[in-house]
Amino acid sequence: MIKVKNVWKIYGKGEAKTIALKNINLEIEKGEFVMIMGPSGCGKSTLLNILGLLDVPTKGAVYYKGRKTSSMSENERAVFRRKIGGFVFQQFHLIKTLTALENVELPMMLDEKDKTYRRRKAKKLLKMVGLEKRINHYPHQLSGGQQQRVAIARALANDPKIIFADEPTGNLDSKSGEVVMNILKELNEKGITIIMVTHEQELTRYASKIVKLKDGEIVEIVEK
Amino acid sequence: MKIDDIVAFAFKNISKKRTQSMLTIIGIVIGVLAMVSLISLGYGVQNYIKEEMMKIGSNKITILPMKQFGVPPSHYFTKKDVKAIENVKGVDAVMYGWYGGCEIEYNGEKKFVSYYYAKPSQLKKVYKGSGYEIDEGRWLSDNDKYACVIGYGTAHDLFNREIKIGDVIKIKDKKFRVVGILKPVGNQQDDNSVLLNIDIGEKLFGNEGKYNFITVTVKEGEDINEVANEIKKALKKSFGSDDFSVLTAEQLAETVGSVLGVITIFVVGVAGISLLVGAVGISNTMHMSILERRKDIGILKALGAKTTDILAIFVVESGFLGLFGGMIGLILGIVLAKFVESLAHKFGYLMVNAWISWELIVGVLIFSFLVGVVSGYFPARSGAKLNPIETLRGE
Repeated sequence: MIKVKNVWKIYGKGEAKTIALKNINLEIEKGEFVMIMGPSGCGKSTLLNILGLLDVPTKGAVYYKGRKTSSMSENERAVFRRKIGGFVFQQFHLIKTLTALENVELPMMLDEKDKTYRRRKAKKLLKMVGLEKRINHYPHQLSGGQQQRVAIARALANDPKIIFADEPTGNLDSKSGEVVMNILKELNEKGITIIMVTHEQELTRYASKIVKLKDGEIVEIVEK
Repeated sequence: MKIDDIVAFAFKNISKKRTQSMLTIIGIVIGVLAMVSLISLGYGVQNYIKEEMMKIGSNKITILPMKQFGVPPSHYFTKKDVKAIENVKGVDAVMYGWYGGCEIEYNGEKKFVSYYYAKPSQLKKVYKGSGYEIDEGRWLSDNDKYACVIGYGTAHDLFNREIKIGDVIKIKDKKFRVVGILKPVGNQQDDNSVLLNIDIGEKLFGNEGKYNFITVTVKEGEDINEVANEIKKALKKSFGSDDFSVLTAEQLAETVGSVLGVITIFVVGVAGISLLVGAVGISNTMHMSILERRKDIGILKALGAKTTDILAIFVVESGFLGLFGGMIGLILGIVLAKFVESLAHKFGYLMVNAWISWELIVGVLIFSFLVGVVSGYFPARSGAKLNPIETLRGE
């Protein structure tokens, strides 16, 4: 489904040049649960951002279902992020002035869905992540684990094919982390491809494929 | 993103930061307040003057010995010119005389007033039904010598002791008995006045045989503009130059109106500067607000918002800030104009009126919305271009 060919990411020029990704080649099939692992600063978030079309490679190409996404226009990439991918971040990144329900509605708003549909879908998704009693709470009224579950519900709003998760449990205690991981696992079982960045070894038990990165290079790909 | 969602989203942001939003729009409020009250009063005065001029008579023609207002005349009308005008077809009555300013003395006090003199019978005829009416006493008659009629203001407001019918005032050390007091007209110049018989007035002020105004009434059924043209021709011959003006009530109203119009534009321009300051304020707040919400922009982009969506959200938000400022400013401006109006009426300036119309209200609201949009555009554009990865990193 996703093909990464000879991708490089280089920041800066001349003396200040830093290479974040070095000649990455990778293939991800539909329904996989991929974990990108490695020490901090190894380029794993950069790779995730490029896969999720938040960022573009300096060299090389990325394909989604045979279509070259790395040369898409800004607007085409926005449409991809809205309809095909869903993002979950380590810092949750909810909008503070909106309630849980409104945060989940937001991607559908951007996709120009009508109001009643949005409301119904958002409630359903929040119920699915176990937050039906918190729909009118603002982010600061929710615990970290609850905020991350809202973020997952938001990522699912436009029925994405892929979830991009950047250290989704990084800011959570182990119990909340497990709740989040179980939700991701369930989603994966329903056929959604999960691509997740983490440095926690014990989470690899959820993965079907592990990509190990070091200094911007893939050192090992483990298929389970 | 749909437009109603953009509006709802912008509203949500404004109401969440109520204090900041309020402070932002103060500049716009003050600018609009100043503009609305000044435009309203400016046009109100213009309209009042136009109406009054029409009231004075659509059948009257005023003739002055100079081409433009405010220019001192080089020479004056004489009996010969009056004769020439009297002979023009369609002319009914001709009133001629002098107006100027002088000091009068009453009860040991000296005050400056405007004076008019003309033949009393003509004065009566020409001014009939034009707002100059006797309140107390009687009009002057052609036989009166040391008698005068005074304006409402001269009688009641000017001196510490009010002047009554039968009292004596001094003009140029000559004693005049007050025989009549006029009803208030609404402007100070006409209310603080003294009217004299031409026979005595000419001698008193030393302008014998010279007149600085002529007023003509036109016979019923005659075309006033045609008569005015005929007067011009006749006067050109007898006066010896065309350094005079023949004004119908309509033209007079337009002339005064255009002078006031220039003043109004100037004053509104000054108010416009304060509005500009308000716009800079909005621009600054939008800039700050976008800095504060860099992260939100990143989130929106990660969720698939297009650059134009983000631009639209911020531009609409600043547009509404402008609109709210405009609404508050409009209400306060109307209140202020109405307050000035009632205050002015209380002191006898009936000409000061607040003019409020739908065009003004709608125009001001659209204008203030646009001020908001324009001042929000540039900060919004720089915000919309932010790189989502940079704004989401760290914390």
